[in-house]
Amino acid sequence: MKLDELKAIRDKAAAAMSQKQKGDKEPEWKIVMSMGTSGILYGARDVLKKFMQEVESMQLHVLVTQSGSFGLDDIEPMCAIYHGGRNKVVYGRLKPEMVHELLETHIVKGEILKQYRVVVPGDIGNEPGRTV
Amino acid sequence: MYELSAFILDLAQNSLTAGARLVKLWVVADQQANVLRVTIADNGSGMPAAMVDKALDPFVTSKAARKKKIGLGLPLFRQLVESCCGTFRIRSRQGIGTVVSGVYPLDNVDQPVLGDMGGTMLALVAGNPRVDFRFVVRTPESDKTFDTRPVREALGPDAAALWQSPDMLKWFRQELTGEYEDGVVKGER
Repeated sequence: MKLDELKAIRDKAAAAMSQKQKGDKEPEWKIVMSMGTSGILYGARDVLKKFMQEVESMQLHVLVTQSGSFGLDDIEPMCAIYHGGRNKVVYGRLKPEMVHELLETHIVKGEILKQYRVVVPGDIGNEPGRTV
Repeated sequence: MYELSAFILDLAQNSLTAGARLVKLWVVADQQANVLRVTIADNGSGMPAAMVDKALDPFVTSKAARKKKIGLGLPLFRQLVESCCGTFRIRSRQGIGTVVSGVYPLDNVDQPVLGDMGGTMLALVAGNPRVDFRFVVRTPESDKTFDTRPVREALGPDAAALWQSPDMLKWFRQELTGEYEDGVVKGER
């Protein structure tokens, strides 16, 4: 393990981080991947890996995490993207190659990517004409 | 599921759902005894004995069980281990944690491949900034030991906030999957 590299990362981040981001505060954006048995079976791990890779290469400040199954097994792999802890939009039947477009549209541009989203209760995409 | 690493991700997900703060995982091939041992131990909420029986029965999915978020992960893993002529064990204590283990012969033809273990480790470690993991993977396919606690210590008090910065994601990816951006896989065996 190359632990000495971590110190450099820490120092670089400490210099770059504004006071607001410091401490235990979570990032503004949060992507929650459904990681139940069915999700894993349908390839949620590959999609999650791709999310992490894209967040890294696009230099986004996003928390990518996972939860138990969302309970909609036929449209796995799926994820929910939260903004500011609420404003949920759920996307389903994801594939690793969709990830870049999804991040670009939803997080960078702030628009809902209609063709990938799925209709669930409490989703802000249900409101017509709504942006993120 | 065809990969052992996918089963492991599923079981570890159970641990996380149970509120574990530390998850320890061993996948160790013992050539002398000719067995593969898979063990996952967590310090989550644990289960009472009656709940353990329920968790192993794929057909009991009461409302209460749904609330506990127990699905097919455990029954599937048990089926896998037993179909490889192995032994499955689960021990759980409420308030202390759960240990799930499977031991099966190393030369069994029905055993799954290890698969993308690096991907499993990356998903778990990088996706959970507040949970510590310890992995010991020692099989013919892979040899890897990883502990998040020294990483957390090295990052200092802002570890959770730094955990998913692009730099850290890159570090985790390199450490856990051996993948570099130029596509060269480190330590290919």
